[in-house]
Parts: sequence; C-alpha cells; structure tokens
Amino acid sequence: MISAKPEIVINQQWKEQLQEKLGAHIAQTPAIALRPSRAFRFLSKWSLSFASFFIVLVVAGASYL
Amino acid sequence: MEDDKILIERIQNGEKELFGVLYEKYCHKILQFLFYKCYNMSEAEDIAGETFLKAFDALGSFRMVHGSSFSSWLYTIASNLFLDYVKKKKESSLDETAELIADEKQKDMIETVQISEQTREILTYLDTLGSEKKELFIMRIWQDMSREEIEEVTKKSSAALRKEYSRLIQKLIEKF
Repeated sequence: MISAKPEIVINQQWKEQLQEKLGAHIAQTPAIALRPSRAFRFLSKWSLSFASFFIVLVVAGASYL
Repeated sequence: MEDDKILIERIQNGEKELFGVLYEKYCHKILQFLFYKCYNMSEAEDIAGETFLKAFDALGSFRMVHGSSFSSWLYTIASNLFLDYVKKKKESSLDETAELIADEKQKDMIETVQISEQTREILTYLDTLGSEKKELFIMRIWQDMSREEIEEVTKKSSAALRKEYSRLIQKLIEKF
C-alpha cells in the first residue's frame, strides 16, 4: 500500500516555458564556462602560492641578514 | 548512467544544447520529487526551474567520478533549493498560522493530483516523522532511486541509511 505513489501530471505549458527559458540561458552562456577546471590549473594555483611564500621567505631572510 | 556521462562530457566540451536532453530526461522526476516534498505544484515548478538553471551553471564543476551520478547530483541541488525555500517561507510567513498553511497544502494537493485517502494519510504521517525520513521514503519508494544514489544525496553511510530505512518501514507497517 505504501508503494502506491501519487502520480502527478506535468503541466506541458510550464514545461515548454521552462524549456524556452533554459534554452535562452544556454544560448547566453559561453561554452568555456562549462569546461571542467583541469588539475594543472589547481596545481598551478598551489605552485603560485608556494612561489609567493618562498619569495617572502627569501626577502625576510635577506633583510634579517 | 553511462549515457549521462557521455552527454555531460559532450556538453562540457562545447555542445551545450545537449543539456536539453538531460532536462527532458529528469524534468518529470525532479518535479515529482519536489511536489512530494512541498505539496504545492506552483512552488514545485519554481524550484524545479531553478534546479535546472543552477545545474547548468554548475556543470563545469561536476565530476562523474566512481559511483557518482548526474541524477543524484541533480537531486542534491533540488533538495538544497527546497531547504532554502522552506527557510525563506518560514521567515516571510511568521504571522501565518500553521493550520492555514497546512490547509492550503491539502487544497493544492487535492486540486493537482488524484490521490487516494490512504496516500494522503501516509504523506501526513511522513510529515510528522521529519523531513529527512520523508525524503528517504520519497527517494526510495516513490522515486525508485538506488541505495548508492540516496547515499550520495543524503551524504550518509550505507549502514546508517539501511538502519534508518528499516526503522522507517517498520513504523509505516505498524501504522498502516
């Protein structure tokens, strides 16, 4: 008895309207925005942080000496 | 699931119009899921619309890694948007009485779908058990989702879900 689910009837007008809205949104969005970010981008971000940290360390060390 | 993977890869690689295929595939399921949660068709439609727009915008961050699926990712978005909607509604309707809201829900449900008295009783009972249990019931029984998919949406372990599910079914059997 509990598995007897209430079936809903989809409003076709709503579905079409949403499809149009979605279509317009898709057309506006540049394809590049959907590209997955690659691992090297993630790594380069970290290498950049590491490089900045290293520079700060060298400058701090130099001024100490 | 394999079809979704291929489609998503193609969308991510520039064939963005193919998102329409995913929309066609999941539109009814997501609308149904949201309707069972809020009993209000116009609200379910609004949240479903937002779900697809948000899913499209976030598609670049979606990874189809081992065990994960697009459908459970979509359900997670829908579920989170529903929670936001409930929060907003609570804030805006502080002066409304709970009975009034419940009456409106019942009315909308009667007008929108043909459901039996027993199903209505089940839904009313599920409301008393809390939103998590209700969601679990909807996903497992009425949406035929796999255990793996539910694990992904709820972020719960397989053992915890199994326990929760058997307790829930036990309660429902005792009650009905």
